[in-house]
Amino acid sequence: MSAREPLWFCHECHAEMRPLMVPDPVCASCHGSFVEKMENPADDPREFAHDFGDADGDEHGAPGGVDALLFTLQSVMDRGIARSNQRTNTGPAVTFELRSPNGSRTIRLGGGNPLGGRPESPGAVPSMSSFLGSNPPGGQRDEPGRQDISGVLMAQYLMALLGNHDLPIFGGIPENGRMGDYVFNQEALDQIISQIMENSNAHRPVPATDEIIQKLPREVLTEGSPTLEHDCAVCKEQFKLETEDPDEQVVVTLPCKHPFHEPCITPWLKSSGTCPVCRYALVPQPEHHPPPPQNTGGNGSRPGSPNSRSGPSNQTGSGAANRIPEHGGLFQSLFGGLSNHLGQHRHSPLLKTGEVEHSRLHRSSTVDQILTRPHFVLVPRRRRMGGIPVIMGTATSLGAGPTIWIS
Amino acid sequence: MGDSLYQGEVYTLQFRFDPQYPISSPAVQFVVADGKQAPIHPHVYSNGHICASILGNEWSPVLSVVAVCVTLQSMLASCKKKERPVDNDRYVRNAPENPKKTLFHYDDDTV
Repeated sequence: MSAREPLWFCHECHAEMRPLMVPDPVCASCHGSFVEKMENPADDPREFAHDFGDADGDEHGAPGGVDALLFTLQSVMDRGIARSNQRTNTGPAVTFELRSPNGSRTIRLGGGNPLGGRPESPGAVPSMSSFLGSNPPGGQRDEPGRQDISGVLMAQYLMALLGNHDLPIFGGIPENGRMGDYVFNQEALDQIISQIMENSNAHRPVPATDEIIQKLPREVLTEGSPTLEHDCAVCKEQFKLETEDPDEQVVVTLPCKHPFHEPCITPWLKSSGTCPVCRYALVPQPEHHPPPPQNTGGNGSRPGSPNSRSGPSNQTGSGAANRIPEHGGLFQSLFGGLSNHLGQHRHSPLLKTGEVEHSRLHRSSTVDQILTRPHFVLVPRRRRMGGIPVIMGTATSLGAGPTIWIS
Repeated sequence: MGDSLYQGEVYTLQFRFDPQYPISSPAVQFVVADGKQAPIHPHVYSNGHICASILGNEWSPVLSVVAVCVTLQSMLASCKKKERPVDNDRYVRNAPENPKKTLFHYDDDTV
């Protein structure tokens, strides 16, 4: 995933998002099909939307009460996102006027406030996500008596406001429950989490490069070759001289000494650069089981180290084929050299030692290490505020640009 | 299975193989239809989807149907408490039809 990949703009709901490809692009927010890739800065669809919508500068001319707040919010959402990359710390102030039966209240943003705004656009305020991600530079310019609200406080205030009112504006939103990087129901939260997980390549196997595959030792089978006594673990066939496909007489032996038919092993290595039998890593592979945090600096077997998986496998790999019949057990024959991988198995940091010992006594440890369970909480910072589940985080940490959806 | 919590119970597994098998893993799930249910287990969702790393990113082409079955049997046999995954309702509500489209995150090595 590249954070630099251009976002798309939805002309229907004005969201900036990565579209769903089904297979034609549709808006991830409203599922509208009028979407446009924002790849040419000179022809930014957001500019068009702003000119057309003419929301600029209308904050103070809008009807009073909640409508005024919402109008202001819309302007905040719209332009904050569009301009957030241009914001400065010296932008002019923005005034929110909130009126309620108890009177009115004015909140000031801008000026010395880190939220700032774009100099040439007096109304510009960054999105919540952008100012939640930014730290005030010290607030030295705050003047006594001024009601500046920044960061999380501001977000809490707005979200509480939104949560306390059954606002008519949300008649349109819960359709998908998403308003940018804010969510209003469980489904929307799930969608975002799935999106984050799909964007994360952290646990995907790393394929071997063509160069690595090309350089692997190959043997063309000949009469009397000791390889003929072995099986290819992928197709389970014994190596033999008479084959219909001449490629099947070419045997590739991995550095861990496990032999395979060339047509059997090549497609696998192109999806995962590991030995199918012992998981010897031809290229560094991600850890399937992250080590406990306290151990991170300890050993060298981390992704990025070419030997992350190869150490123990190397030592045992050459003998693995011979060891299997010796051990003889059901799991050994089923999983073969996979059990070599055991040495690197790490248990969850939360696990008590006693439990580990107990489970080892009763079960194949091979099985207990390859069965695991889902854990979905990957959201950078998630809090519940004002009764609304809120995902907070910067655009980058969410793996997608901030999207704003407001009607 | 000795003192398994699931002793005497019968479940049906569905295997779907794509043309890339065994390079790609089969889509394996418990059959939930015609009166058949998925076992109640912390790694088995009520729609039959199974969260097991060997069905996902720890699949290896040396694994076979027998290996998967034995693994799942062992998963059941080692269970100490019959319960659904904590996020069962949430997952099932939005789960894709094919469990291979789900990206599970594996963090529990104990069961």
